[in-house]
Amino acid sequence: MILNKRPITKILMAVMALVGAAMLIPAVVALIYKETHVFLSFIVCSVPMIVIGLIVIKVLPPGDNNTLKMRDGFFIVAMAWTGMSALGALPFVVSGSIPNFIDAFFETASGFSTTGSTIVSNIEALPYGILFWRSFTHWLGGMGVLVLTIALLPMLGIGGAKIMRAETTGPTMDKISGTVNDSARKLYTIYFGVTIVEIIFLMCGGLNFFEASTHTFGTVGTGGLSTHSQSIAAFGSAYVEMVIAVFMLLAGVNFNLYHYLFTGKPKIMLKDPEFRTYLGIIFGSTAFISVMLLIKHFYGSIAEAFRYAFFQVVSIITTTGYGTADYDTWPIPCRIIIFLLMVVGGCASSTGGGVKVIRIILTAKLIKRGAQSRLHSSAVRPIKLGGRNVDEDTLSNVKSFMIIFLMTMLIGTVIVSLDGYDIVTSLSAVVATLSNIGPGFNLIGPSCNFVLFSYPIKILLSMFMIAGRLEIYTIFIMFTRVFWKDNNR
Amino acid sequence: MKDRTRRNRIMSARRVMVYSALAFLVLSLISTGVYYFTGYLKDPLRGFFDSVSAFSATGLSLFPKPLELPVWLRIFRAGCQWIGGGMSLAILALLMSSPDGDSMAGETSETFYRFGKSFSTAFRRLILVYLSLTVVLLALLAATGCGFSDSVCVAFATISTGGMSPGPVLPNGFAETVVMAFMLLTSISYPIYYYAFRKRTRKLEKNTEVTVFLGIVVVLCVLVSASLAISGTYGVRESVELGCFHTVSNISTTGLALDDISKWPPFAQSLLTIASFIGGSSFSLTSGIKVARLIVIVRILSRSFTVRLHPRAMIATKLNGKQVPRKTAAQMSTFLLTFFAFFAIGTFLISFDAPDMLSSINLCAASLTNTGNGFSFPFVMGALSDFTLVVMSLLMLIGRLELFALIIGAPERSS
Repeated sequence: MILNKRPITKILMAVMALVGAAMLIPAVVALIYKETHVFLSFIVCSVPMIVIGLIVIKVLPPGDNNTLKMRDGFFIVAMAWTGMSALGALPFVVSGSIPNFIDAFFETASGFSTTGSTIVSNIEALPYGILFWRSFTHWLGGMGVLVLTIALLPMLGIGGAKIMRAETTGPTMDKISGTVNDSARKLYTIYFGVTIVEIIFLMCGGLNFFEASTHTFGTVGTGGLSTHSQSIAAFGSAYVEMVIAVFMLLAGVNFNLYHYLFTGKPKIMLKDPEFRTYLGIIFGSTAFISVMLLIKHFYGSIAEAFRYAFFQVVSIITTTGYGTADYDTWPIPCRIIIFLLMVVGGCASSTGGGVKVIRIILTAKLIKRGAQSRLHSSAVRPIKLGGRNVDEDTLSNVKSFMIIFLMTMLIGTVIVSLDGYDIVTSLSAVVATLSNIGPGFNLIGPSCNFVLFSYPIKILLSMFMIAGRLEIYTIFIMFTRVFWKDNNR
Repeated sequence: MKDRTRRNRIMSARRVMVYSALAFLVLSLISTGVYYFTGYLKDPLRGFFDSVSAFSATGLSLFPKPLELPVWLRIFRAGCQWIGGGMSLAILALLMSSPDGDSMAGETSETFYRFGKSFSTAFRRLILVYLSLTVVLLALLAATGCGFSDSVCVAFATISTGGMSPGPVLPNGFAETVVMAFMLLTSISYPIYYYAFRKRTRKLEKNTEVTVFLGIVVVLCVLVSASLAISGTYGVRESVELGCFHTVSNISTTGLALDDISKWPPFAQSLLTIASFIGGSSFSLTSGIKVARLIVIVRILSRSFTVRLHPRAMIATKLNGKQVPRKTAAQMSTFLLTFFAFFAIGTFLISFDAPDMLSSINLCAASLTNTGNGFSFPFVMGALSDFTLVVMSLLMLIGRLELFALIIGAPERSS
């Protein structure tokens, strides 16, 4: 058999038990708001998952975890995220909030992948427990992603973190601490800390604990599901917007850098090329959009234009997807910028999605080098990042990733357009899900939702969300022949 | 000794780029003068745009009703496209005659390495194919009942993949089929015809690029036609006819149209856009990414999956039965990224003028791939600002002459 069934089953069962345990928290929320029906739905889903999970782990004889190969790693990661989304969808179905399982799967995949696309039209009508679970999946997803990108994916040889490894001055997991567990623990501390600080800040802005916590989950996980149809605009408070914008910005930064910040080496953070480019893109785009909005008389003052431009830019580049203004009504150049930001995404090893700023930097350098070698027919020169050479394998990985992303975008658009909606809607649906943004353009713009798509397309978009979250390769490799071919035979 | 003299006569890639760009500019300026002094396009910038569009075989036009133009002007515009096509062949010949790995020829000349031992042989052979295709199409069109001037306009626009439409002049379905067949023929590698003529079949058998290209065309034709028929846009027969014609027109980056595609289902529209990105085979008159690069890129991608599981696997990238050098393969995949980077920037620059996102995407695609058709252009073209026209003219030239490297203009770093 090509896969190591026993250890895989064990790990997947453990994931199931964890999801089950996580459901107990929204169950408590439901109890507080006296939603007995919702409380029971969570318990009905949660208890069997915990019990079955623990029993299977107990009953299965101990396997040798060291026998896990690359193939098993890919399989576990892909199955875990798909499985989490399927199991996490159950409370929506059981409680009747989202009666159709595919809709619920879409919503949960959107949660765990920190996308923030929704199929719910009347969000305010959902019970509190369900709303909490929706946002909580973002927080869990964000945490999962950090472990994944920082600890697991590098082992599989993919992910943004791998780019930074060894060859560049950038921080890497092995530099921060020796073991995976250790660095994961430090990340959790930072993640927890940021979460608590943001909740406090938001409560100072007059939000109650429920609203503050749900929106914090969406922010630090760069998810974007809100408890209001109008998203952050519902609060109408510049203070709340700025707090959320700043925390979104922080969530899009390589989390490893915070370690340096807190250990008294802020210089390493400030000199990081990816971090600087990230800030450069944010402020450049904000400035451009603010000026455009002002010239075209969308807002009366520069402060107002900046307020809305900054929030939207940060929300999109970090792939969160919260909104305070409908960017789909903005001038066309602003919309194109927003669209490009969707593809760019956050920094490597952050909770943000997209292709990541570091890949954009390296792609730009590759394009420049390509032009040089064409014009001057000279020997290939190494590409430098932060003063050090980037090795060629990494570069060709970056290139393959970018091309796969582009091709998925194009082919995905063709498939989604089978539903008959215009090309901009179809294209933005693919980008919004593949980059884990949330809203798109036209029919799925910030003021609309994804309910219009047919069920097969919803499943496809859900898979795009999960694939995008797992750096594409993890999901796509399942569909290759080489994955299922037994190389021992 | 002999080798050295050969080397000296070879132009560097940068020179080829600069000279070809200059040649296209000079011709466009002359043609602008013609428009200006005859008074048909008094605005020089607009005249320049129309000229570049003709020479780069794009086919976008600022004349709203080309049929109302006098016959000489219609033939003049068609002639510009045809000359532009001939010049593109000259550039191809220049690239072919340079040694591999030394210039941008290294990228695509793998297929037909040493097709011509020198520039003049290569050019003579290519232009022979070009002339024969044109003459045969002219004869066939005349046989279907097209008038002489219409036949010339259509034939020139077809063979050069210019697609500057002289208006609805094709008299019957047979003429449409003939034009479609020749759009397809002109997007197949020209050396193939030469080898076929010389009965060098071994060279033909090895050419996977053309096979893959034809495969892509068939698949796209079936999908587009099916989409038209199932959505009820046309009856079954018409769906197949129009679907195939437009697919071939787009993938050959010609851009001739029989009907307004803006009413078509989005599925068909998006497929047509992708077809124009793909383009035809290498060493044909099409623009776009080209199938040879696509084949290599797909192989690189499939390798990248295998390497994840078997890090030490050694897999060669092959094209037409030959192994592609690592450097060439890398250049090809970089080309794709460069192409889309330009596409993104172009779309952004055009968006200042476009009424919506889709038009700016379409206008950019139409210019950069030299297809020149669009879904809602007649309403847009006249209103474009000077800035946008300049941007689009540049995109047309860049796409046609593959000037990407020249524009990035990376200076050689002294090391």
